[in-house]
Amino acid sequence: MKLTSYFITAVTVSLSLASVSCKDFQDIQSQRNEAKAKLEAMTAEISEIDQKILALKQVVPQGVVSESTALKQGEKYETALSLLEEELTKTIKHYQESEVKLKALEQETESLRKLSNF
Amino acid sequence: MKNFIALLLFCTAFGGWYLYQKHDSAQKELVEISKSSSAYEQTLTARRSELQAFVKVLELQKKIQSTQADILGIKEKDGKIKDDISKLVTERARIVSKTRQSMIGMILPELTLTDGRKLAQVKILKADDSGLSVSLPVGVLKILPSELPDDMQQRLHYSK
Repeated sequence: MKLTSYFITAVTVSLSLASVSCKDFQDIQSQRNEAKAKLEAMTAEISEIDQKILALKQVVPQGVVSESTALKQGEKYETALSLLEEELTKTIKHYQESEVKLKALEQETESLRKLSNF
Repeated sequence: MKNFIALLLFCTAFGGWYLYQKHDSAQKELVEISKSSSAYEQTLTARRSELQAFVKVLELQKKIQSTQADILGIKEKDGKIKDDISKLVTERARIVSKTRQSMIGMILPELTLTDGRKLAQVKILKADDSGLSVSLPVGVLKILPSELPDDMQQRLHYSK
């Protein structure tokens, strides 16, 4: 009878330990699944970015094949753009001056026409 | 009864061992995934940065093309304005020339110049940008535009 009681106690303890282990295992399993999902998401993003880069490589100027060359080209473009913006400002100013000149000349010619009755 | 308890103990022990194995393998897998995850994160950061560099190049390229197109457009409009100016200048010159030509041969009984000189019986012989050539009873005289009175300057389109 005493032996039976020991066995029952042992079984109860074993079951309790198994239950705790099971819970711990479930936690680990859930963490692993989460990490796996994150890894899969990162893999998918990397693959998507790679495809985008591949597509961009078709449209960017020749010679731009990596990040460093892209950065160098970017610097060149920034300089060129800055010069072009200066040129645009000058062109706009010149155009506005021409417009003013044209208006003045139109008025002058109109008054000349009236004065001369042509 | 004893056999049943023994079986139960065996099952419990086996279950525990099985769970331990599973737990161990899951933990090892988790550690490996964590290591890979760090490497993947680095790769992802590098790829994002690369993508940004490419996108920036493309954006700048488009901006340059758009600015060049703007400049060309404005230059084209400026060219048209210059053509209009050129036409107006030609028309203006034609009107001025016609007006001056119409006055050739005209005789002015009296003409007072800006320096006070008074001229009589002035016959206009020639009128151009450099002034008037007139004949007087005493001879021929060149009158500069600035020497003409205001009304004559206006009539002959000598701008001040």
